[in-house]
Amino acid sequence: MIAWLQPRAQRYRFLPEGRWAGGALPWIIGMMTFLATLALAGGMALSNGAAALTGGLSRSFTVQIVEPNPDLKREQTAAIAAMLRARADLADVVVLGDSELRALVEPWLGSGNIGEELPLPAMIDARWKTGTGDMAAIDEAVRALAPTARIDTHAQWFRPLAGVVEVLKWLAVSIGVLVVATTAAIVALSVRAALSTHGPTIETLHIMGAEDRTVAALFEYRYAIQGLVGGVIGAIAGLAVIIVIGNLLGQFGGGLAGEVSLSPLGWTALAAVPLLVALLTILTVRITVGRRLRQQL
Amino acid sequence: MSTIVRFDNVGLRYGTGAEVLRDIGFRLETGAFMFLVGSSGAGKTSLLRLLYLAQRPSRGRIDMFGRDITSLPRTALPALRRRIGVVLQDFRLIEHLTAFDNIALPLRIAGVHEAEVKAHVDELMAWVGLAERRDARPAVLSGGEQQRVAIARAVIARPDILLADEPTGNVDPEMAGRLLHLFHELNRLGTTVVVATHALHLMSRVPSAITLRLDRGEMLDPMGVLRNPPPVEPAELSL
Repeated sequence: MIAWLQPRAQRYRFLPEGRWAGGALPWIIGMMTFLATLALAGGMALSNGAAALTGGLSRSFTVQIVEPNPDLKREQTAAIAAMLRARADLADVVVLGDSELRALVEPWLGSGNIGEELPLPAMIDARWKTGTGDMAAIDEAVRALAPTARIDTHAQWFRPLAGVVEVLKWLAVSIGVLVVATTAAIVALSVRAALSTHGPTIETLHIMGAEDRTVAALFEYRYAIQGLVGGVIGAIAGLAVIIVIGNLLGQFGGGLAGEVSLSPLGWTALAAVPLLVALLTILTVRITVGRRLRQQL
Repeated sequence: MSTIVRFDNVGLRYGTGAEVLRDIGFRLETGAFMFLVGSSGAGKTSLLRLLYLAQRPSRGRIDMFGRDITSLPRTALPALRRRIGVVLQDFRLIEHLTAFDNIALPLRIAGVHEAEVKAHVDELMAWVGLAERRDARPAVLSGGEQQRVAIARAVIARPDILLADEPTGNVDPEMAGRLLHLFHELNRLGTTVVVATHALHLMSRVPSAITLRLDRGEMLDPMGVLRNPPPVEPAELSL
């Protein structure tokens, strides 16, 4: 261990060395970190998903022009597309091409079974630039140009799913909080046991004028190392699982699965988990040791 | 000469038990040598615990180094403890540390530079006859050697007050004489010394020493020399 990182009291081995990694504690911290990493990643990914559902995806809508006369359908489609493109509050107005429409239907009718004679509706995707605008006005304008046209707002489909995702997000956050609290409790119990074991030595150090912070530093250093080791083990295992799940989700292609992903900031947060675990350990040790020492004179 | 320790009507009880010390009142001048005598259970160790600030009294007032330690915040106590050297009856050596490291503890706690620590500890170990046992751990030291380590640890930082609980209990008469001589020398250099002992014959070796006799938690002081000292002005209490 790098000597200058050690507190002065630790360098002088005021407490016995013991096993530097602390036996089972780093493994327990590792398991908790693994769970915390998954909960954190789940929470962040679902948060991104929820944001996408309530943001980009729910701002979209589709206009379907159901007209058996192909020429009239083409005219109505062009007129509606022009009307939509003329609006300043809409973006990404896209008329789906014939091949795209056939690709949408193919999974149900089978490849090669869609002949020219099959009447398909024309479809126009559009997205509000911000929020969701006046759908009633759009509806009225579209029907004026094509009385048989129909508008599907994506929000109406995503709203229940967005609710579920929101609940799952907060469930992940709750699990993360519980894992953190459990880790702190385990560390606190371990520190209390260590304080009892080393009670006579601590009392001797006190008699000789050692301050609380000197004694606390002995424990903080040891437990920080254990927290860091456990944190690294747990985070590596957690990240491996997240990468595997990410690859599995990637196979679904775009859509919602593509939105439930981690941003670069999210990956940075996950990489910082071992440090956060070490900090949590230090804080827990400081509080636990401080409380115990204050019970003595 | 200033007062370094003053007890006024001090009582001590552990938890809700009976008082183990009652109405203790005495004054120690800087540079005094005091023997604390009494049979087992008389309260000598409890009185020493008050003196080395391991305990606050249940009642009364204790002034040390010119400060009322009964009302001092506990954060102020470590600095005062570093001015007190203690030799405990059970030595309290730290088992995993060598004799050298045990003796060096007070200096290292006080943040003394390591070169200085080494020089002082080596010199003192030679003086108490432990130079050959520098790297020995307490488990392999004899009772007498452990006691010398404990005494060396208590005096290494040149404390203002040296407290010793039965310091000659486990050593042969010759070593007992040497240790008492060491205490006397430290006392002549200005250290206030309090020695709790059963060995009454040693008291004659320090003719200038005063004696505080305890019996079942109370002072036995028929001459009234130590009990109820006259009031001291605050200025007189400061060092």
